[in-house]
Amino acid sequence: MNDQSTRCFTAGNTVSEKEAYTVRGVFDEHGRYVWRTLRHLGVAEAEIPDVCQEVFLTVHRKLSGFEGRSSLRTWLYGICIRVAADHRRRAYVRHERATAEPVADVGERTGHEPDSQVEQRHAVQALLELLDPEKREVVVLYEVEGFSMKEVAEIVGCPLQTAYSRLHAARELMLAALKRESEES
Amino acid sequence: MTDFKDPPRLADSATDARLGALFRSAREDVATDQELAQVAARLGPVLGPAPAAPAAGKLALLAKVGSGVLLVGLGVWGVSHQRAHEPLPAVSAAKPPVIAVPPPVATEPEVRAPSVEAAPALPAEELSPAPSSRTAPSAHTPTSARAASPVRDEAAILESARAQLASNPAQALALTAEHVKLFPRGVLSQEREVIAIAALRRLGRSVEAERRAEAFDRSYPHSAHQRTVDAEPAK
Repeated sequence: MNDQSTRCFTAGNTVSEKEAYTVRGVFDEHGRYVWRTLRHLGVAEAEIPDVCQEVFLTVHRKLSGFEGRSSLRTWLYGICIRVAADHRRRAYVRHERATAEPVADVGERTGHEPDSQVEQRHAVQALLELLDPEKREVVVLYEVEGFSMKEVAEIVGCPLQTAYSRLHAARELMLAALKRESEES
Repeated sequence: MTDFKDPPRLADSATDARLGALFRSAREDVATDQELAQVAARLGPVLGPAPAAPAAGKLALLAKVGSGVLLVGLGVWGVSHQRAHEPLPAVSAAKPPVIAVPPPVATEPEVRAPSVEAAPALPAEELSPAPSSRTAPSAHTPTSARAASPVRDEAAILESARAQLASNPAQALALTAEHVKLFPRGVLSQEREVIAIAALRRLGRSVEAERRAEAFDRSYPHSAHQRTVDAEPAK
């Protein structure tokens, strides 16, 4: 493996420390979470392997240019967001849904306590489907992936205040949907 | 690096019990080992050490051509099980891909036209395969079935080109031209250009090589291959 192509120095460390990342290391540490993120960003289950591969191929190409101005995790999730957005655009051009299966109304999905992981997953997807892509990205990064809002703003490339606004609006939408469903059931 | 002004996360707060439960489940919904292994298998050597030590002659070649070409080879193999989407003639997966290359006389004009013009003009955002060739099998075909598909795909073509670089740069160049024709928006467009530029330099076509290298710089200003493209000046 070519060292230049697969290694870069960790954020905040000096080059002399020689602590380097490898694509393998990034994949092993973050791969399963990247998969989760792509799922929550609306990539269809059947297409997650393709898109996940694309993410790490991009990592492979760009890792040597990573300068450590942000944390590696922030940098990686920036790639995730962009690759997922590109995927969404391609799906839109194809006039196809970006999700593998139709997502039912949030009420249908959350009308009862989901009792299996699959039901829980569908219920989460139904809620996230209510959001536009910008809000969805903020919710996924903050509520699921645990980034700080400052990091979220950095990853999605918007002002911090805008990220807060998107989060607030997204929460309102999701809460309203659940409330509406409760009233109907 | 948590901002203390950040609101409590839904999964940790009592804002709404159901919402909290859903986001707690979302946190736990990570990829399984099997799903992860599926991606790891597709990425192949991109993730780990080189598949096999090349023969001494090839090693010398790689040293001459530059480390980026090795990277190309690894990248090529990394997706070699993924890209079998274009309707190409089948080649046994058990054998190394054999690419029919037209005679040099016939190929020279072809090589220059599409590769110099078309490839660098593609924006970096379009490096992914064409949607139509990508999504259909993804949505409906099991991964195992795709992995067993004919392997004369974009990765195989470039791997052949890379292998030819030392002994027959003209053929390597012709193969990159074939790649341009078959995969104008292929995922390995950058790697193709690296091989093509190296081949042009080995053929002594320094003006074309530098023109193409400049086009590469313009099209992929942040590419990790840039230092490879720039490393070997025209002779």
